Amino acid sequence: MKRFLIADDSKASRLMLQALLQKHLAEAFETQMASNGDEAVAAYLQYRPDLVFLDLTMPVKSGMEALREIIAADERAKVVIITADTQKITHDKALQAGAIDFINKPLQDALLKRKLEVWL
Amino acid sequence: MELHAIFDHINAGLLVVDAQGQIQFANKWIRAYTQRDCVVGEHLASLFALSEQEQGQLYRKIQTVLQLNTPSFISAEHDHYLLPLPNRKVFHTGFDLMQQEASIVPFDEVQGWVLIMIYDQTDLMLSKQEILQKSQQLRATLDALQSAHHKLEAQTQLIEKQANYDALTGLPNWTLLKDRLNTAIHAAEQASLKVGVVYVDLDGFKLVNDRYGASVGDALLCAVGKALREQVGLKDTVARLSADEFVLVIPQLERVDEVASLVETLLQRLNQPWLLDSETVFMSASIGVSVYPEDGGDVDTLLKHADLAMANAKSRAPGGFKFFTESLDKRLKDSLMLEAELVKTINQRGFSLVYQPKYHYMAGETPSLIGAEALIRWIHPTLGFISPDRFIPLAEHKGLIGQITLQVVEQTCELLAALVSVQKAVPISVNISALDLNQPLFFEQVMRRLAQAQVAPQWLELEVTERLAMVSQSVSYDVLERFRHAGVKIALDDFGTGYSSLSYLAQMPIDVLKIDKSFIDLYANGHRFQTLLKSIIELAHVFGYQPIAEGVETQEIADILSDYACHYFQGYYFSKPLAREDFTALCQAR
Amino acid sequence: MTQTSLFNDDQADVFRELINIAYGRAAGLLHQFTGAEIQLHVPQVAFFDYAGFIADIEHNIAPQMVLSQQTFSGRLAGETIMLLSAADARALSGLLHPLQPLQDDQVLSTIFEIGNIITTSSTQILSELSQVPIAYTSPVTAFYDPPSLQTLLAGIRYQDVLSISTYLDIPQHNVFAKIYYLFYRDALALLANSLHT
Repeated sequence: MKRFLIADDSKASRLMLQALLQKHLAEAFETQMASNGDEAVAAYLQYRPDLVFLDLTMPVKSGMEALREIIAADERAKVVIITADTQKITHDKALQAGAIDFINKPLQDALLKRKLEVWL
Repeated sequence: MELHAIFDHINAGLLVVDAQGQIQFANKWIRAYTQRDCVVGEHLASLFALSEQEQGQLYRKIQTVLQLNTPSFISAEHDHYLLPLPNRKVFHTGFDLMQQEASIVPFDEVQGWVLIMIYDQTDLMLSKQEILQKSQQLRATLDALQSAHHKLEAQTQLIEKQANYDALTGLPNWTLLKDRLNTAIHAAEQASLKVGVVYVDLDGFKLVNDRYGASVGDALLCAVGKALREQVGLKDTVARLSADEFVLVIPQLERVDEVASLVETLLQRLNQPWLLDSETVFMSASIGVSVYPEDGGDVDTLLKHADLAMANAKSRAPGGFKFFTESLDKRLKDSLMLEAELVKTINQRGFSLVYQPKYHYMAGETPSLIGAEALIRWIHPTLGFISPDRFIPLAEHKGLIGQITLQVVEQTCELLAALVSVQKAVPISVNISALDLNQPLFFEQVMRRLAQAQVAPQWLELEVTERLAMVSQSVSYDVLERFRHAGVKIALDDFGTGYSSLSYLAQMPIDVLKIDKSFIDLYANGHRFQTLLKSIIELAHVFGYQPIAEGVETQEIADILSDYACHYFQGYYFSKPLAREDFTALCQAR
Repeated sequence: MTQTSLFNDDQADVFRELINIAYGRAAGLLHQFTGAEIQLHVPQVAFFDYAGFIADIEHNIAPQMVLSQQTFSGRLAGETIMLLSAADARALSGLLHPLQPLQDDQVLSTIFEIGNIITTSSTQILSELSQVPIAYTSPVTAFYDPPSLQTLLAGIRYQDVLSISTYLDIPQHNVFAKIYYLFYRDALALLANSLHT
């Protein structure tokens, strides 16, 4: 069974993403939630999910830092950045730090569907 | 219709531009604005005179619109124009506000094109300006019209004025006079008042004119008009009728002698010499007076009668006046003369006194002399005996009573001094007017005369009539109290003829109550009045006043009154008023 | 001073996320225009009565400030306020106009532009969410010393405000501006309804 980690400080965002996953995935899956950078790293280490959805603007520890720590811990981690930040430099930085994709909020239904096929 | 065609019909500039600012489409408006046939492929920055900063801003604006997918606007950067054209000043001076508005909207997301819409309000502003100008012109025209209207109004007023006013003196003319007189008559009718019409004719004016010339004549007329105007009040009219005739209308008259005094004053003024242009002109005027309603009920009659009266006056002797109604004429003239004579007599101390004795009497006894009342007498050399009923009210009206009263007090004090010196004095009472009591220094003046004659106050009494004592109650009471305190007794005269309530009567600062003759006479009218008389006498006693009966003419009355406990009497039965010598003799014979 | 009567926690969360997205878009543009990296912060959502809001603003005032105010109207009515020190404003302006010597009106013009981008982005997203059109006016930008700033703020009349604040943070150039979104009560009610997720 696929395991996902959704890290976002906004509960609504987490729930929405989860709902979209449910919508677009045929098979069953598990999701873990994290609401800040620290939790995100800890959750990754504990659960070793197949895919991480990571928000960037989070309290305690930022998404970017969490990304670096996760990649450092596991260089094959699949992390998709889902963020409101549309800056090119952020996009470049994230990919350079090891993220496999970078999507802007709000998530578009069709886009997510396509991307899931690619990521998984 | 094709899209391009629609775009060409829109009265705004439409530019489709890509993310770099390159023009993809421009509508007819833009082509006309830039005066270029084709601008496709050109860059915004080359088409319009934008500074580098402005170019940067425009570019960023386009980026924002595309990426946010939302409309935006171009803000004002230049003098009045968002997209100024190079090398051309399309300037409309006088407009302070931006004349163009421009918005940018996403046009094609795929290709990344935006649509810039430019709306130019210049034409609208021009029209507005035109309208404003026209409006100002209209305003100017209106103002001109208004000022012409005002001029016309002023001229009309002038004409009206000329129609109603005499050109030389500025006084109302015949037309206006008749109008004013008519109004006055109606008003007087409503209010039951009178109107006086005074016709003034200048005697010998023509001679003056001939002798001194027209300019002096005119100056005289103006001076006369002015003098007449000065003598009358605001509501009175002074009009010039013809060359040497003036008419005055005196409305809202209560009494005719008001006019008489006025006429006398006018004559005095008119009959004096006039100083004009260093010429001294002598002249006189004759005046005729008619009165509404006695001498006529309408304008024409009154004027005719005033004219007749004037002619009458002139024929008798120039420089005089005459009222139309004979009797009125006579009476007024008499009144004026009487006043003049009164003043003379006061100045000459031409009054004399007579003294009516007062007696104490009880039935069956011999009356004993206890005092007297001093009565004023005026014997005029030509007019003969003038009754106090006639001249005292006149004196009061003209403010002369004070002097008369003090002269009476003086003469009385003189007599008292003579009597006191031989120890044969009795108290003598003097009549005073309420007006005397209201004179501030009356008390002091009376006391001074007593002192000067070296007569003790107890010998003087003052009699005040009931009616007049009420005139100014608080003041009168104070003065009377002062006299009483000083030893001068106060008698209330003519009791029964006034309106005193019993409470007032109880409070009066008086010592003696003189019961009027008219009251005494009522006795004959039956039982009821007899009882009344008795009650009055009792009342007097109850209040502590000494009653004395006036005008007792028979013994019978005297006895009855005595019965009623009134023991003091004054009247013809006891003695008529006596001349000084006779009274003195009476005193000495006691 | 704070009330949560209009928004429950979930609604506040959604609201914060929306502003996050709006601001994120604006940041993308600003990055594009300035070349500098904008540091995004988690927006703070708070309800203030107006006095509380003023106290918050006056917390950190420099001798000379630049304030840009832009109102939006319609059923979603309110305004955005961008507040930064004059020094930071000059630095920011320099990022947009690197070659020009800076004059005051250029500084104001820059803040005007940036403020407008932020407002546009935000109102657009909110308008989408609530399906209500929003109109906005031109920004008003000026220099203020503390007394005149106080006077200005005293003149603005809100009863209570939903203040969502975040920062325009450009660490590279030491630019730090505070951004406020203020909404009228009616607008908040409308938004709360729309956030009925």
